[in-house]
Amino acid sequence: MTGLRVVKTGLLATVQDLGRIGYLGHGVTTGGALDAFSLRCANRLLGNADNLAGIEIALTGLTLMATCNLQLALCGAPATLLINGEQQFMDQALYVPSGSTITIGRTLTSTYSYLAVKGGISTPPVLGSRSTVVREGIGGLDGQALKAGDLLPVADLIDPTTGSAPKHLWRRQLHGKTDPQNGILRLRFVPGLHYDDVTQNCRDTLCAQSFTISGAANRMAVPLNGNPIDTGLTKLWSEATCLGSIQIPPDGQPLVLLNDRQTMGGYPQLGVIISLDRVRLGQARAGQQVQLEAMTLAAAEQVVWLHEHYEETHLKALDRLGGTAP
Amino acid sequence: MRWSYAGLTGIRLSYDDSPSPAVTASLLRLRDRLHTKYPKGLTDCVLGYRTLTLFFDPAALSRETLLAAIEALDDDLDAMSDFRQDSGQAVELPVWYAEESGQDLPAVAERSGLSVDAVIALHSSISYTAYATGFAPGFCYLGEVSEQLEMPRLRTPRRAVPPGSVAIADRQTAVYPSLSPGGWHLLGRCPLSLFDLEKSPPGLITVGDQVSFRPISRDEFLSLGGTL
Repeated sequence: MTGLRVVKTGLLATVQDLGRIGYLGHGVTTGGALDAFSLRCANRLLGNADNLAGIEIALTGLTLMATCNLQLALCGAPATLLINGEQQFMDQALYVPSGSTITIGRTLTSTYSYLAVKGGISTPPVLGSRSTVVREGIGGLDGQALKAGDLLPVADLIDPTTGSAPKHLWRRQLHGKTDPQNGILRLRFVPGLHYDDVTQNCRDTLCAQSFTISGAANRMAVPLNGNPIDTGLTKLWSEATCLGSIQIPPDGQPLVLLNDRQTMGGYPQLGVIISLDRVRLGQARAGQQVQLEAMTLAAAEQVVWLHEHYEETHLKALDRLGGTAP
Repeated sequence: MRWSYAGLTGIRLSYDDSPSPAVTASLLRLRDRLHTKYPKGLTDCVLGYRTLTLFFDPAALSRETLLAAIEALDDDLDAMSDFRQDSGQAVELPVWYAEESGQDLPAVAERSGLSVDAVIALHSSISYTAYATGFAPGFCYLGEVSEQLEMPRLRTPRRAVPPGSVAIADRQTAVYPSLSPGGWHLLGRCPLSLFDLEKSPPGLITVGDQVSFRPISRDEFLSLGGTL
């Protein structure tokens, strides 16, 4: 079997695709790339389908060795990319001959970078997805995060590009959009779930202050620190959680639920953060100031529709570059 | 029944009644009808104790259409007076109840003022309703446990509860499908696999099922594939 040999890992690197859909009712969470757009960009640069699995690399980098000829692209949080010690640009398709060492450094801003390879990483799919959810022990390689020595299966390029020098196909930087404006990251949400069951005072405390992203943020949730929110709701019966839910545990410090969340929760949920702001939150770092902002359903739909349109336009532009080595 | 938004692609339906087999049956009926009607549009339907959260693909199903369908079905459901359990199956789970397999059994007995045998008899004499699946893949919340066995969760959850562990907390009982942390009181172990990715559905128990426990010996536990 050929592929990518893991040489050295950092904080966390996992195999991710666009997630496991349709199993929440069985207690199996979605998983998937926290910043799906960045993974999709990397895939499109290579001419891959959007849902092929790549590697999500958190904060502190990853070193790999190619055991076959392959093509790769790195998108998402900006990080130094070295192929055999030589620095390369992110956001382009690169030809990498067998035996090369691929070093991804610490992210310079934001948190998650995405490495895709032509043809995708072909670990066995589980319930329709290759996404790793470590808590559930599902997906990726044996349900675990990458560790030194792992071999991630990748098919050898049938028709390797001539020459071994990386090809600069595309240099435009995509990561800038994850940076918050004015120092505070806006988290716009659609009120719902238990929102009708809490007092106006509780809603006011939620939106009238800024919170700080806690250092305990992970793929399950981003805890926010601020003045405690008192929902006045005590005993709740467990119910479904949502991707992007603002959940208020008894200590009053909100948790924004992300891709690896538990599928059920017993704490009040006051609304769901719109997808683009949730991704920005996931990419943000500890210490970042954020402010919650309730918005109407109609306004949220408009913002999300425009953003999705923007993403599609970007992806279509990448299609023209994908897989067409000069 | 009330509804609220669960983001741009979700609707949460809830009853104000206390959880009961009747509430669950009603939610299941609603889920099944909606799912039959919109097999592609509904991506996930999750039952809670008294909620049904529906996630939809807006490209295949609009919120307006879904809400109109819910309203029409809700009127139908209210008109149906019999809350017959029609979607659940009966599941009998063998359990080896012993201190060796369920280390909290003596403490539960002491706390409830019953003998160990009486605790086992009480726990295995009831048919429980599977109210919800969550916490971990295939983990089903079953209720309700006899009032005599009601007890709060452990103050400090265990880091590792062995797979198959049968446990109680508050008035709920459950079987841990896989090795995980857990704060419930352990009474014994079931040798069967509760969650199998090769099967469809992957969970042995699904919401709405009627679950009962049958006490077995250590030998039977081992012969049924249980591991120590």
